[in-house]
Amino acid sequence: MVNWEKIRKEFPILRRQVNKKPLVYLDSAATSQKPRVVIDAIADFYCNHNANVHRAKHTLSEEASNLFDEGHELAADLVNAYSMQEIVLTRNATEAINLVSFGLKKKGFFKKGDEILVSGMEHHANLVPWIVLAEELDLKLKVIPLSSSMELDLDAAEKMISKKTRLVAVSHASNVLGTINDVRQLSRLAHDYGGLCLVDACQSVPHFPVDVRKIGCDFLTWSSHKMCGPTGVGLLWGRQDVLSSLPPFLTGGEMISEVFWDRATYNSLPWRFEAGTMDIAGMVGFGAAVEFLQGIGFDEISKRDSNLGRAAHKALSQLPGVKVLGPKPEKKVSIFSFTVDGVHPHDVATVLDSDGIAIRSGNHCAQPLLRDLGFDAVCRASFYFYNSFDEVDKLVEGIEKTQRIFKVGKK
Amino acid sequence: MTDSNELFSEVILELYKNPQNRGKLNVPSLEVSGGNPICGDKATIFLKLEGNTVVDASFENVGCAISTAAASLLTEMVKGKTIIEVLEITPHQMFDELGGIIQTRIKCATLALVLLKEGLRQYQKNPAKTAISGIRV
Ligand SMILES: Cc1ncc(COP(=O)(O)O)c(C=O)c1O
Repeated sequence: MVNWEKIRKEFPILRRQVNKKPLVYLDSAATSQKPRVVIDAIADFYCNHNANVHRAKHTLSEEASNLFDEGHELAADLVNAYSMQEIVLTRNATEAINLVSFGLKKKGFFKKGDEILVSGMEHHANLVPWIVLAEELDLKLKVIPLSSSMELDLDAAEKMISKKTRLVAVSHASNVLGTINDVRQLSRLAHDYGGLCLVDACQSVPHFPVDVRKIGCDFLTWSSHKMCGPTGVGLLWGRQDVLSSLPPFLTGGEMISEVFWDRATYNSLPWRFEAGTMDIAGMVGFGAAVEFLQGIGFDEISKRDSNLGRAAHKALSQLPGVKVLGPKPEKKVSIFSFTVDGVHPHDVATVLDSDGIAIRSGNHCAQPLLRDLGFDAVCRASFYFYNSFDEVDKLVEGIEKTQRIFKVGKK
Repeated sequence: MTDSNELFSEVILELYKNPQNRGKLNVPSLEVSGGNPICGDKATIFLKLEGNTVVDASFENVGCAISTAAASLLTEMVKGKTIIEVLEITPHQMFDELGGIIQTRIKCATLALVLLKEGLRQYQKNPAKTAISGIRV
């Protein structure tokens, strides 16, 4: 049995008060909080090992390089990659997706009239790069519709896909609905027609075991900051043959092998995609986060996620005047978008904040999805394993208080 | 059960439920629209001018309680005022009339005012342009 109460205590920020109330942090889908070990690992790096990597012959550089490489190894292990050569460090998942879109474009992977298939629940990060590319290269962007249960309509996807579909780019779990998508099936479909599949795993990697071999995709991206690691670190996994066929994204130092006045040759994977000095301390912090999460165990984290999710789903769905968006709890991660009749989402967030409860309100970087669902803005409460069942109750009390202030909901 | 509510004044709650002057004006002299792209609130203010005096005003919006109440209040406040007088309305006047605003929501309370003032300034420069849109607050 995992002692979740003890684990929660390892997050210093969760001890603070907001507006004189204990912080109830329900915005982990935007960014997660950081445990002491991650904060310490970064401080320890700067206090004891700081140096630039892969260049010097001195001891500190050797230590820093080893820690930096270890971050790549841990990322590879986390998603069951074949080797660390398949792991590219970026600033965030957004940059990783841009790296792929740039590489595919430059390589001439698309020709006019080709198609890119995305899902109807994409975050702007896995949508705007493809909109821009489609515009530039005269490609067609197609969108897999949602079913009434707010899952992807895979039958529709199957009908939409064809030999023209060069890329399927989908989120593994939606940051708005929480829906977990069958990316294995979508990868298979993409491959059946000779295309590639990119999975945006920002909301899945933090919550449950993710295995690129089982999924069978070609690219998978996520961000360290949503899984207890620091900001400034994004990860791209690419299948080695596909990754090695992409031209470099940013160019300059570190990513080269030999440079002449008029030409350069490029370094081996993954370094050819890591131009300039990267966020070394961030990568060390990310490594500590992976070890921390693996120490708890992703199966346990996933179970905790389901339990919190089920409790939150039940509590929220029973509230009069509250609508929860998304599928049944079994089909999602513990992210809950909801509306409160008669109260604007920003006002719900303000009332909750006054009691120390942090939720998000707005369009959640998914404007097309929200528009399809008929909203300008919704509230979102997103849980992580460090949240407690008490905090589900506090969320409910906060919503009821909002309804009392606005004189809506139950009498 | 009652809750100590220092977040939303009675004025705000009342105007949010029953906003005044909501809807388009017939043949407005000036129409100003824009919003805050970060929070998603959007508004359009319609003015009817006779000479330099506002004789009627209305608004349409998508937004929270505070920005809705503020737009309602502002469109009421400006009726009978000259353009110069409207330009002199301060954010603090708005906050007072709204019964107080918490620090984190000041932008919501001033959205309509900022739109209207920007629109009137542009109108003063170029009275031929009676529809001004896309103002980012
Ligand atoms: C599903 C999804 N994709 C992509 C992103 C973008 O992540 P980042 O801002 O770290 O690049 C997010 C973060 O909000 C997300 O939830």
